[in-house]
Amino acid sequence: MKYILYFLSFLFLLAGCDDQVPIVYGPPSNLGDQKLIIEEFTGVQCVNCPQGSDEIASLTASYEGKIIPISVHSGFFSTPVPGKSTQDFRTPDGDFIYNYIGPPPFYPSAVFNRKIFTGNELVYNQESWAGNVQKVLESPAKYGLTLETSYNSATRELTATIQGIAKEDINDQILAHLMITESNIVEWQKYPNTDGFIKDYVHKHVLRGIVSTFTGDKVADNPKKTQTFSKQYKFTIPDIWVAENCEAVAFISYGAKKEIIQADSKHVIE
Amino acid sequence: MQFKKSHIILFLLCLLTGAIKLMAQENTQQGKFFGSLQTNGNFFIKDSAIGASNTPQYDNKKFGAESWLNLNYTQKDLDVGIRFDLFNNSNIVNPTGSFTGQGIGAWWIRKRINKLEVSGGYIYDQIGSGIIYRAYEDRPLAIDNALYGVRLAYDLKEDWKLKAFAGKVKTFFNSSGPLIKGASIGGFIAGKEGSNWTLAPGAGVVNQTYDDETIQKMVATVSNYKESDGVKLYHNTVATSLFNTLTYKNFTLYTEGAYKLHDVYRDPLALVVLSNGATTLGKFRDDPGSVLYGALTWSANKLGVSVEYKRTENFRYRIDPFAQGNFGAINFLPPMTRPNTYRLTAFYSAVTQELSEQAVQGEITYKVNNKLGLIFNTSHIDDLDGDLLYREFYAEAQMKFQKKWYINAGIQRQIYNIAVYLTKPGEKNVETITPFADILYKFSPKRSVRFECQYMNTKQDRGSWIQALVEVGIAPHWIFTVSDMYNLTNDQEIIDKHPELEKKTHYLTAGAVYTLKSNRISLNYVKQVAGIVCSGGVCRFEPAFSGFRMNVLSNF
Repeated sequence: MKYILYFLSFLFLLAGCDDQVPIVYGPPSNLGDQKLIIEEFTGVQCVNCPQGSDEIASLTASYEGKIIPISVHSGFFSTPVPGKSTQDFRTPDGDFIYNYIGPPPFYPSAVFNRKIFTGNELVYNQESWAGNVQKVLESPAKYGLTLETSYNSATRELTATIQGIAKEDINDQILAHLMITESNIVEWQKYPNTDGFIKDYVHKHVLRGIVSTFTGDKVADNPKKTQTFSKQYKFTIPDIWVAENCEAVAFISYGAKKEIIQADSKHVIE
Repeated sequence: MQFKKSHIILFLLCLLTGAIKLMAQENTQQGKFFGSLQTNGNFFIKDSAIGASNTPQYDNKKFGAESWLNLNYTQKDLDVGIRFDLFNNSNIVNPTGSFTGQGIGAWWIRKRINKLEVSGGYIYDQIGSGIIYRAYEDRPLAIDNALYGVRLAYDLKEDWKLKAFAGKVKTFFNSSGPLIKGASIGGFIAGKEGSNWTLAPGAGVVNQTYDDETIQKMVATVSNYKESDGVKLYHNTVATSLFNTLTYKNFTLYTEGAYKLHDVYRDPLALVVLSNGATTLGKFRDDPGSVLYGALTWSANKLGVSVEYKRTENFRYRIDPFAQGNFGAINFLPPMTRPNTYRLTAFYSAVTQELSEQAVQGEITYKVNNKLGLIFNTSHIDDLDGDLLYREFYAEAQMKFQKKWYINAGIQRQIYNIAVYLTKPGEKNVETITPFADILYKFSPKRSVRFECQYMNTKQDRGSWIQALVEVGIAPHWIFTVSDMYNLTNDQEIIDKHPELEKKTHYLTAGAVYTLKSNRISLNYVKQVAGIVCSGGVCRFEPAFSGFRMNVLSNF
C-alpha cells in the first residue's frame, strides 16, 4: 500500500501547478482590413443549425463589417421538410460548394476563408468558430478588394465590378468569385422547441447561386505588390429571388489552393 | 520531428526481418506470425421513402468500404505488429458523410527486458475501468483513440506494477495536438494463508497539456463571451482515480472514484451571453468533474447477483473542448444498462451521459435446472437534478428441451427520455413494452432453424413495431437469414411528425453467411430504419440504410 501513498503524493504535486491562461474579453481592437467569408453548412432539417446561425450572427455583429456569412443548404439535413417546406434551398451551386470544400462531417459546421487551421480540415464545428474568426481577422491583408454593384430594376440585371490591389508579391494565380445570397426568407426550420419546428423561421444569407465559374475566374498571375485588377460580372436576378434582400458577395482566392485571400460584399439594392 | 509513414513501414519491416533472423539464429523459442482481416462493403440503393437518401453515398458514390488488415509477430519477449486501415467513401466515420483515407492505421513494438516492459507506437490501454483513461478501438462507431507514444511498465514487486505513458491521441491517420501523459500503479494483496479475501488496489493519473494552437482557439472562443460568463483556462488538465477490487468468499466488489480538474469542456445545453450581449446555446465550462462507480457481484451455485452504481458529474474528457461526438475521447464511462441484442429491445438505447447522470443497475441470474435459466435485470438512470432519463425492466427465460429445442423468451419494459437522448425537446418520454421469443430447433447436429419475433408496443415517438426473423443453419458452413421489421402505428399525429411512416414500408433483410475454418463471409440485402446505434455504451444517430452489405472476417 505504501506505493499507493507515494503515488498520491506525486499527484498532489501535479495538481499544485498553476498554469492559468490570461484572457482578454471582447473582440480585439487593433484589426486591419482583412475580411472573412464564413460558409456555413446548414439545413432546414438540422435541429442544431439555428444555434449555429445565431453564433454567426453574433460574431458578425461583434466584428462589424468584417464578416460575410454564406449559408450553404446542401447534404442530408437540407432536404425540405415533407408536407411543410414551400421551397427548396438546395441548388446545384450549393451542392458544388458542399463537395468542393466539404463534405461537412457534421452540422452545423463552417469554413472560414477556406483556410486550413488544423490537419487537412477546411470544415470546423461550432466550438472552434470564434477562434478561427479571430485568427483570420488578426492576420494582415495581402490584398485590397472592393465590390461595386449597380442594379437595373426593370431588367433585374445586376452589374458587379470587383477591383483589387496586391499588398505584397504573391507567387500564385488569383481567382475571382462572385456569389449571390438572399436573407429574410421565412420558411420552416427544424428547431429545438416543443413542436420540433418553427414555421416562420427567418433564414439569412442563403446561397442562391454562383455567378462566376464555380472554381473562380483568373484575374492575375503572380501579381507584384501594388498590381491591380478589375473584373466585371453581369447577372440577371431570377424573379423568385427578392432583389431587395439579395447581397452580392465577391472574393478572391489562390489558384493552387482553395484559400480565400480577401472579400467584400454589397447589397444588390443599396 | 515527424517520421514519414514510409520510414515507419521500412523500420517495421526491418524489425520483422531482424526478429525472424534472430529466431533462426537462437532457435530457442519458436516465433509466431498471425493476423486478421476485416472488410465491410456497403452498396447504397437510394430509397427516399425511408430517408435513405441525400448522403454522398446515395447521391453518387454508391459504394463504401472499410478494411483493417492486422499483422503480428511474437517471439519470446518481443511483439511487433502493424495494421493497414482503409476507408473508401465510408459512412462509419460520419453516417451522413463520406470519408476516404488509407494508410498505416497502427503499428506497435513491445519488448520485455527483465522487469521492464517497453512499448512504442500505437498503444491500447486503460487505467482502472477506463474512467480517466482508455485507449480503445470500436470499429462500428469508428472509434480508435490509441495513444501514439511510448509506454513503460515496471514490476516493482511480484504483485505490484507501475505504468507510465506519454504521447498523443490518434485521430484516424493523424494524432491530436495536445499531449497526454499518465501513470498508474496497481497491486494485489492477499490475506494470510487460509484467509478468503483479496484486494487489488490501484491509482492512476492522466495529465493533458494543450498545445499553443489549441490554447489560442480556446482563448478566442472564451474571449467572445461576456466577462461575467467567462471561464478559467489552464495549459494542463489533471484527472485522477483510485480503484480497488475486493473479493471476499463469493463476493467481488469493484469501486472507483475519479476526479478531474482544470479541464474545459463544452456543455451543449448551457446558455452563454456573448460579448455583444447576444445569448446562444453551447458554452465552455470549467467545473471540476467527478465519477463514483461501484460494482458488486455475488455468485453461488445456481444464483448470480450483480449491482452497479455510478454517479457522473461534468466528466466529459476530450483532447480539447472542440472535439465532436465520440471523437477525441480520452476516457470511457462504463454503461449502466443491459447491452440488449435483439433489434427492438435495443431500439431505444441510453447513451452514457457525461455531464449529469446517476445510475443504478441490478441483475439476477438463476439456473433453475439444466433445462431452465432465468435472467432479471433492471436499470434506473436520473440526471443529477433527479429527472428521469431511463428505466428498464427485463426478464428472460432460457429453456432447453430434448437437446433439440432452445427457447429464449422474455419481456422488456422501458421508459426513455427521448428529449435528452435524441435532442427532441418537449417530446414525452417513450414508454415501451416489448415481448420477444427466440426459438431454435435442431433437426440434426448439422441442420437447425431459428425463429425470432419481437413486438414493441409504444404510443410515443414512431409508435409500435414488430420484427420477425427466420434463420436456417447448415453447419458447419452456411447460415441463411430473412427478417422483416414493420411499423404498426395508425396514429395520425405520429405519422404527421414522421412522414416516412405514411408509406407502410417493410424493412426487409435477407442474406447468407458462409464460414470456412476461421474465415467468415456474409452478404445481406438490408433495409434498415434510422436510429441510434450503440456499442459499449457509446451511441450515435445513423440514418436509414438501403442496399447491400458485405462483411469478410478472417483470422490467420
